[in-house]
Amino acid sequence: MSGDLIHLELRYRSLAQHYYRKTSERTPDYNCVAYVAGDYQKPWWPVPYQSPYYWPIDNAEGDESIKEFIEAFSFLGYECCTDSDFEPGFQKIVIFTDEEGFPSHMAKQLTNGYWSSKCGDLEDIEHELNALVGNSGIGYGQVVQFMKKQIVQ
Amino acid sequence: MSKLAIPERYLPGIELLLGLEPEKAKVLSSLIDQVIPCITVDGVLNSLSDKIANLDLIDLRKILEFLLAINDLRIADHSNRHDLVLNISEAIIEEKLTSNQDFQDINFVQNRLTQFLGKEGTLSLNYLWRLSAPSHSPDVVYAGSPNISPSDLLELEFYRLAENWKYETSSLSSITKKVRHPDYLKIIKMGGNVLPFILRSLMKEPDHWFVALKSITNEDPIPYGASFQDSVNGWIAWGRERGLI
Repeated sequence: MSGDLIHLELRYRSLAQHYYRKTSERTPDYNCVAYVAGDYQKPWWPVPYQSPYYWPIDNAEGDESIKEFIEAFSFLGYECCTDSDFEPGFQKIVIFTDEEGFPSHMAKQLTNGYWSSKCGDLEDIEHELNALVGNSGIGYGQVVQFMKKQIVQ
Repeated sequence: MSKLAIPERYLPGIELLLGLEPEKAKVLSSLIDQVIPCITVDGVLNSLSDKIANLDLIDLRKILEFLLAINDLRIADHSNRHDLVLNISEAIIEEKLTSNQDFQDINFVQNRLTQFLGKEGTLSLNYLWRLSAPSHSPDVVYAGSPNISPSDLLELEFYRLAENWKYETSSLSSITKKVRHPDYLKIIKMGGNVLPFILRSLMKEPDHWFVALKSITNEDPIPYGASFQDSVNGWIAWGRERGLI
């Protein structure tokens, strides 16, 4: 826990009870989905608005279901898996959903087994997986789907 | 002679603010910056008081009232923060608004005010102000300043909504939730008159104004796939071409 990040701890109430550390300054240039996909130039979200919002597959209907997220990351080479265990040679990612079952956040696993998140327009942090769990207003909801992709050297 | 007139009722808050021990001031400024939304002012006060020892609610309210009054002025006057801090500091020193000799050093006063009037601090202050004060007019005013015009009130309202929107949505990942926030929708409903405010805000502190700009103007000068910064620059160029900024 760091007093310097009390603004994050107030927004994500589980954070203070878990290991975390800041890994970047805040910026609106990209969001958690873009961060997981490796794009630091524009936010990703499945809405048919306009630039800079981006989605890798056609989504004229503005479908924001978890199925849509799984399809988008399947398109990027990921496949669904069942757990958060670190697997050498694979990049794992996770989708959080809110109380209504809609995706609310994504994070990616680091090689040390911890997870890395871009917190909205705020900072990037390295954290334990459950550090961002919690209902809307105090967290990003629940962890519902893991995916993984083989890392090409 | 100072250019600012500060009502006497804020003097206790000034004394208390300047009298905070450095560590306590640091903690309080950080906590004010991060007030939890959607609770009452008294809840906010209680929340802050619980985290800062030896400062009772009445004292904390006096400090907040002074800071909120300054913040109103900052918004109404579109003040450069540095100039505002300097003017307030001069008023405090020159008008001998504090009898404590320890607070007669203008550098000390400036540093303390700057600590509480940082970019982030104003967000929460705005939020608190919105809940606690029915009037939009600042009552710490520059001597001889005219009444606030309807245009100023529109801008004041824009910044109040915008700062609350930023505070409440900056941690959200969902773009949809950001642009469907009630305050964001209110800004869109304000129509074309707020375009200069949005564009100036985009210049000073880039944020997710693209949906509002497109909704208000029915135009979209940014090609799909552009980066966030290119989108910011594109809308600013669009505004300049039309003389909006």
